[in-house]
Parts: sequence; C-alpha cells; structure tokens
Amino acid sequence: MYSTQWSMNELATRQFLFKLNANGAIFTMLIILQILATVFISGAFTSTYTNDWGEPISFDFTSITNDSQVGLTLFWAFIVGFLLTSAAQRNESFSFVTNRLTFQLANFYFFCTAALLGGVTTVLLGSVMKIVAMFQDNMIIETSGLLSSPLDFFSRIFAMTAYTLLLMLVGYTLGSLIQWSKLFVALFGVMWYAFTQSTFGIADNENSGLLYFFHGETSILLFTLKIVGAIAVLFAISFFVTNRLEVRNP
Amino acid sequence: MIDMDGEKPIYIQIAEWLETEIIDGTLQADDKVYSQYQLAELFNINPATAGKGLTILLDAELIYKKRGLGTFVSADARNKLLTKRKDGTLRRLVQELLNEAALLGLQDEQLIELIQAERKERS
Amino acid sequence: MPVITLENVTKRYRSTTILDQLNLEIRENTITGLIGRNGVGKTTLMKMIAGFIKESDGELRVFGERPFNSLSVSANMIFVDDMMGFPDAMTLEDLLLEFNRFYENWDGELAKRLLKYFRLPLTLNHRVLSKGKRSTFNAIVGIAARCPLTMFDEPITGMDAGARSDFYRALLKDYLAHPRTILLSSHHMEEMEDLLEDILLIEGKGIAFHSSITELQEKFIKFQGKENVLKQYANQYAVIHRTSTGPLTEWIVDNEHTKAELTELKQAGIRVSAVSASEAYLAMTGQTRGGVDDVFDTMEYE
Repeated sequence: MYSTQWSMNELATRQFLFKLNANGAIFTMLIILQILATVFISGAFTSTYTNDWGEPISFDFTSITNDSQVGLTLFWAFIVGFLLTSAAQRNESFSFVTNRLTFQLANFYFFCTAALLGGVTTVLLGSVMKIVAMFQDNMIIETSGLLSSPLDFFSRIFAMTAYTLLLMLVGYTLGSLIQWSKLFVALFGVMWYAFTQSTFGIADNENSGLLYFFHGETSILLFTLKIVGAIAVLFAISFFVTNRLEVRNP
Repeated sequence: MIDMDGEKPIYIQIAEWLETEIIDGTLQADDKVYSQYQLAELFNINPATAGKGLTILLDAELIYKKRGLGTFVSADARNKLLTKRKDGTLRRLVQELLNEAALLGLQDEQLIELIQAERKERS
Repeated sequence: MPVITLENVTKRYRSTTILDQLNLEIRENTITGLIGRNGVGKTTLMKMIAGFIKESDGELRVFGERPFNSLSVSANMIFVDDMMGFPDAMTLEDLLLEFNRFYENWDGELAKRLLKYFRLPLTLNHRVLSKGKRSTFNAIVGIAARCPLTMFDEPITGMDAGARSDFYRALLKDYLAHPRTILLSSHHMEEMEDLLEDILLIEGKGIAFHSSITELQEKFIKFQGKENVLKQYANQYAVIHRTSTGPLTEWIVDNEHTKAELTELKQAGIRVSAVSASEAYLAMTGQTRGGVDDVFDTMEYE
C-alpha cells in the first residue's frame, strides 16, 4: 500500500544535510564574531615587569591569548543551540520527512559539525595571533603550537570542540524546555542567579564550582568522559521534551 | 432515477451526453466507449462520478463490458434510445400542455379541438 | 484496505474537547473532501493523521501504523497548508532539491513545469512570495511529491480564480495518472466538488456525514416556484432551507417523495431540480444564502 521505507539513520543524515543547507547563516555568524574578536578586542595582554632593584634590564612581557575568541565562540554556541529549538526550525524540518527522533539526531549531527568548526577555527585563530605578534615583536616563546607540541595543539582543538558542543547542548536543552513551557524562563532566571553565585562566588578557592568540574580536569580521558556524560544527560533531557512536541501548531 | 427539469447531477449529465453521442452516430454499434478515466479528464470530474454515468448506460444495456478490453456500444442501443427519447420528449410536451391548459381552465375537448384546428391549417 | 482508520479517536486540549470519539475509514485512492464550518476541527483531524499532533484517546492508524512519530507515515505522506515552513536562505530551486532528497516518488520535472506555468521563478525565495503565490508553490509541491497519502488543508487560500481552477485541474490530471489517497479541505466547496468522490462532513465535534458525494446530493431536492404555491406543500415535506430572490422562492427539502407527488408539484408549476453537493452541504449546516434574512425578519415583528 505504501512504498517508501527509510531507516532511522538514513533519514537523520538527510535531515542533517538539509539543516546544513538551510542554516549557512549560522557559520557566517561564527566567522563574523571571530573576526570581530580578533580585530576589535585585542587578544594580547601586555604586562610590563620591571625589576625592583635596578634599571639595567627590564622585560616587556606580553602574553598572547585568544580568550576573547574563545568567549565569543562559546557565546555563539549557546545561541546556536537555542536557535535550533525555535518553532520555525521545527516547522521547516517537518515540511519534509522526519519524526522527532530523526529531527533530534539531525540537530545533534549539526551541532557536532558546528562545534568542530568552532573549535578548529578558534584554536587556529590563536596561532594566527601568534604569527601576527611575531611580526610585531622580535621574539616569541611558543607554548603549544602545532610544531612545538602537536599533541598539545590537537588536545586544545579537542577541548575547544568539546566545550562548544557542550554549550550548544546547554542552549538547546534550555530552548527545548522553554518551548515546552514558558514557566522555564522564570526557573532559568533563578537558576542562573544561583549558578553565578556558586561558580564565581566560590571561584576564589579555584577548585570548586561547576566550571571547575571540566576545566580543572587534567586527565584527557576523564575530561572526555565528563563531557560525554554531560552531553548524554542534556541530549536525554532535550529529547524527552522534543519527543512529545506538537508541530505546525499555531 | 427521478425525472427532473432543472439542474441535474453531473453523472446524469454524462449519461445523457453519451446517449446523444450514440444517437447522433458519433459512437456506432460495437464502438469502444470512453473509459471512466477519459470521461473524468474530459469533464474535469472525479473518475468515480464518471463511472456512475457509465453504470446508468450499463444498467439500461445500452453498452456492454468486455473483460479487460473496456465497454462497447450495444447493437440496439441507438434504436432503444430513439424510442426512449421520443417517449420522453413527447410526454414532457404533453405534460406542459396539460399544465398550461389547467392554468387557462381549458377542458380536454377544447384541447382536442385546438389540435384538430392546427391539423387543418397544415393540410 | 483502508489507508486511514479511526476508532473512538478523541482530541482534547486541556479541558476543551475538539473532536469527540471519531470513527472513520478512508479507502485507498479516493479523493475525500473534508468540510465543515470554521473551527470544527478539520485541521486538527488532518494534523493528527499527519502525526504532527497526538490523539488524546482512541486508536488512530495510518497505513496500519500510529502516525505520531512514525517514519513510514511521514515518508509516505505530505501535508500541505499555509504553515509549511521553509528556510529563509533557500530559493525555490533549492527547495525542489530538498523535496527530491526526501520523497521517493517526487517528480521534479513536473514541479518545474508547473512552477513555470504559474509564473514562479526558481530563483525566488519562498519568504518573498505573496500569499497566493506561496499557496501555489505549496500546492505544486503537494502534487509533485506523489505521496500515497496527500493532504491539502485550505490549499487555495489567496489564489486567484484562475490559479484555483488550474490547481484543481492539475491535481485531477496527476491523480488520474498516479492514483493516491487525497484529503482536501476547503471553504469553497463549489469549486472542488466535481473533483471529489467522498465527502467527510465534520460538525459538532463529530462526523455528520461520510459517504459518496452523489449520496449527499441525493439526500435533498430543490423546488422553485411562487411562494404561495409552494406553501400549499409546506406540511408535506421537511423543508431544510428556504430562500427567496425576487418573486421566486426556493426550497431545499428532503428527497423523500413519490413519483405522483412530483407530477403534482410540476402541474402546480413548480420546478424540481437536483441540488449541487455544495448546496446540500450548506443546507445541512444551515449556512445557505439568505439564512441571515431570518435575523432581520424576526426583528421586524418585534
């Protein structure tokens, strides 16, 4: 009676390709944000150390960091996660063949791709800044470049990608819950307040708080496990909501 | 089927159109009749409705079915239709005549007189 | 075998019941017109069948499966309405490629030729289209997807008269060549009635009528004549509806009569004719032309 039979995975892949075509603007947004971060917010913090006891030698010590790109990429990740829960996004997906699971999987594939791109470009931008700095100053002490310490370089890309993906899922889960019930807006306001109090308030002793749970991890294996665990929990929560959403409802 | 003088349902219109095709010789005896899909396309209607039009002709044995080949015009279809139309048309005219007579309060004898007068004038 | 079956299907939103205990079977490869007044739940019914929203109670089956979250229902079904969303960044041509990606029976050539006929340039963006053009695009997509179950919810919204009849013609032609099960809802029943095989009338949270369109027509008959003449028969027939335009009065009555009765009516100078399906529908739902006259008539007496 009916002919077409898709496998779950086949359809999730097709929905993912459709999402890539449909959401090119999201990548443009990333590139613009990173350019803004590089051009307008200088990543280099100059601190001058002058020795106390005499004049003969003084150091101008400039540390190059791309914290501003990292910050903006993570901000972008959160927004992207949130955007993909909009009713418009759902309606677009459901204009074609899908169910709620393939919709969720396609979103997840999309996040992985976007996170990888975000992670790679952010770390590479750090290198670009070092090169720029090299032309300005005469000397550079490289800490973790591709050539000096490739393993470290790749682990930075990995960590950055993992953080980006995590932030996307945080945004996505929050967005999904809000789509489900607007009451969550108020709840998240309260939670945000509590979160900032706990994270930054106690941040003085440096080894507590939610951020330290990931950031303080020194073993890459444990770090991976923690990230994967957190993503799995967020995926499950958001899917619990997504799986019962009614679509194309005014 | 009821006898209506106003608008008729579309499948009756189709049956009548096919009858006219047979009477005027467009469709000869043993010619293949349009399928319900052709009729649907032709009249811009649902094929099921077109099928109902064909069923009327089938029931009246004006057309017959050959399995797998389609429907065809019966040999005596034209004659049957001619008699039917004569009866039908003439009868309707008589009905109208009687209605008009009733309106004017004429008796049957007066109507007959009218017919006879008309005959005389023509001869 | 029916494509769609409903057994005691109910849809509620919180405490409001939209559809109550529906029982229904839609046969394969029929064109069914889904009709009813605004807000009776036609769209709700279609969205449940599409799997967009979930039934609150009862058993709903499409191709033998529960549609909510069913991939095979989604893959073999297309639901066209004005809520169909498309990404801002994509042109009509991009969208056709996406449809090709998702629908196995998709006929891209047909879609392109129809778009050209309806003057919809492929380079345009869906968002910039006027309401009528957007409906036209969605309707074309609905035809070209050739889904075994094709649903149109108010597809002609905003289309001009020419586009409307062209759309129905295109739908019929493609249906004749590639039969499929079609559900079609519209307020303009008179424009689509010739296309339909079955009528599904929703009224008062339930199904008021579901059968062939000719059966709906044959439920009623129309008398036209002078009011004083018609009035002599007022007790004889259940008059569903009466209208008067100028000197001529029109009654729609239940089609229950003997041949002798009809002859008597004709002798009295009353024209007897069949009603169209849309007249029958309007009579059934009490929204015939002139019904509003009653409002003013009662005012005059007061």
